[in-house]
Amino acid sequence: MRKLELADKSLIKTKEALFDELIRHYLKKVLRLVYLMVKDRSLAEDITQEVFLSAYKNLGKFRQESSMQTWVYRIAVNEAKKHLRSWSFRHLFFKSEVDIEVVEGAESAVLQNDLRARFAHLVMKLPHSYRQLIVLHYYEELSVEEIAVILDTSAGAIYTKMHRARQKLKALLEKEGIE
Amino acid sequence: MNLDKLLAEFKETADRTLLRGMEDTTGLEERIRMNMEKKGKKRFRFIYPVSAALVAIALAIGFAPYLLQKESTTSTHTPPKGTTAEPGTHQKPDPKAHPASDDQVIMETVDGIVDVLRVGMTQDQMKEKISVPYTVVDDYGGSGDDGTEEYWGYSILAKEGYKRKDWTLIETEALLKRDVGLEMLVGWKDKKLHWYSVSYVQGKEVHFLKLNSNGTVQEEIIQDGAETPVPPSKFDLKPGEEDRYYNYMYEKKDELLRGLSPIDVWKLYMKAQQESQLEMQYALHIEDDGFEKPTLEQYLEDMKKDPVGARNSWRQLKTMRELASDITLEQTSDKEAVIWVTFKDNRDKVGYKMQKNKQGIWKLSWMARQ
Repeated sequence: MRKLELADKSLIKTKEALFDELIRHYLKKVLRLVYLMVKDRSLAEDITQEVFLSAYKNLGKFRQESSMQTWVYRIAVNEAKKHLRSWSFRHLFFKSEVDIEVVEGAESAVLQNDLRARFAHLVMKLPHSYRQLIVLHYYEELSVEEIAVILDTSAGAIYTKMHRARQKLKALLEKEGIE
Repeated sequence: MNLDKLLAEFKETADRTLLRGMEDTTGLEERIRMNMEKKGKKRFRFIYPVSAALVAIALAIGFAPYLLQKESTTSTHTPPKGTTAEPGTHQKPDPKAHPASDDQVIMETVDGIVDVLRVGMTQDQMKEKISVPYTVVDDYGGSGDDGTEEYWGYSILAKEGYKRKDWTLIETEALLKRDVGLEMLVGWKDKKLHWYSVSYVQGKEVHFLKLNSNGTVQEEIIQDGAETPVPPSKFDLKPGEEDRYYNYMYEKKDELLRGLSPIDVWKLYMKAQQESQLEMQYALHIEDDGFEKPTLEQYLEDMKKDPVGARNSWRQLKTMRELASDITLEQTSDKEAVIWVTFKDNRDKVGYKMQKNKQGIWKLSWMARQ
């Protein structure tokens, strides 16, 4: 009995240590990833919290077959998707393309004139399914194969969709006169 | 500057622009750890004194310990042995006060119910979530047209000796007298939860909440045994518009919307939301390339999974209807527009994004922020 208790305790400790590692390495990354998907800071924080609570609950199921990053990103993508699809999210009303505070500030005048900044905002205007791919590939620097694992689909499907996302982005660039 | 170059620099650009000011996550980390602790404590608090089934209630619904006391004696079905609390296993803060007199306890219990009950839940799952006794109701007074085959009634936070006479009407008197805090009627179809309604008391008002079989929620205040009439609002349709609403509701043909302004279409949508017409709401959303619109089946299933969201939507709509002072159109391009609703109490205006589809018909954007 005593042995069992000790084993239990050591398991808890391992779980805690693993969770600390998860927080240390991925909290900021997940928050940014989720924000780029939902475009709302407070919602991104709420979703990130759910991601980590869910990760903690399921740490026992993490079998290290995939990297911790792939695992936690998969949870994040699914949680964000759940919100995007949910009734309550769709009834959060339109206010602006991106949180206003993000583009305002001392450097805003400079930023507004920056082509790259305008391009970043165009990425945020993409439909969610395209934006998600651009973010995972070009922001998170994940390979197509890794993205396929995270989104639970084939690499072929990712290639096809990525092509469409780029086309859409190109059209937006032309429309804005950036390219 | 070409696309490849811009994409290659996207990470750096996003960090410097979109994600500026998001470096400090200390507060978020604290919140996460605090919530983990809270959950841990909650579990510990309930594990020892009560049985497994009550732990399920306490954890899943977050019921106050009041609910663990002996419930109404009206019920003919009691949970399996061991699922009710033994006397003395819980304590009330004020021994003289009955929980039915505490609005907060009642509200928390209603919130808990909305949080855990879902359309499609089995009877076993229901017993697991709500282990208080229930009555099999023979005469509910409903027509059964909606396919409901079985009814269970729950009297929750009831005084000892309270017995509900019949379930055909809302028990306004007993609720106002605080003989009972809330009553719930559950409709079953194929042994699965089809809908439920909860009548509960807050102050001097009796509230009525219903989770419909399609997952939508409606909540009203009861006056003289009936729902309070909906007051006139800026959202109301004129007689001609009502005809259009019903034609579209039955036929869902977009041609019926040809020539309508974004506001006309939006008003149909708001009416559909008021009437819990999900198929119509779905049809009024744009379905063009690049919009991740789920199939109708998937959409309807998703609706059933989010009763808390459905309740929030209902409340938002109710507030909007009551407080809207003006509805204006901002045409941002020939294919895009935003409908702004402003309010009497000067709260922030809200907007709905509208888009013209390839057939030239105005529809609501699938995701308002896309």
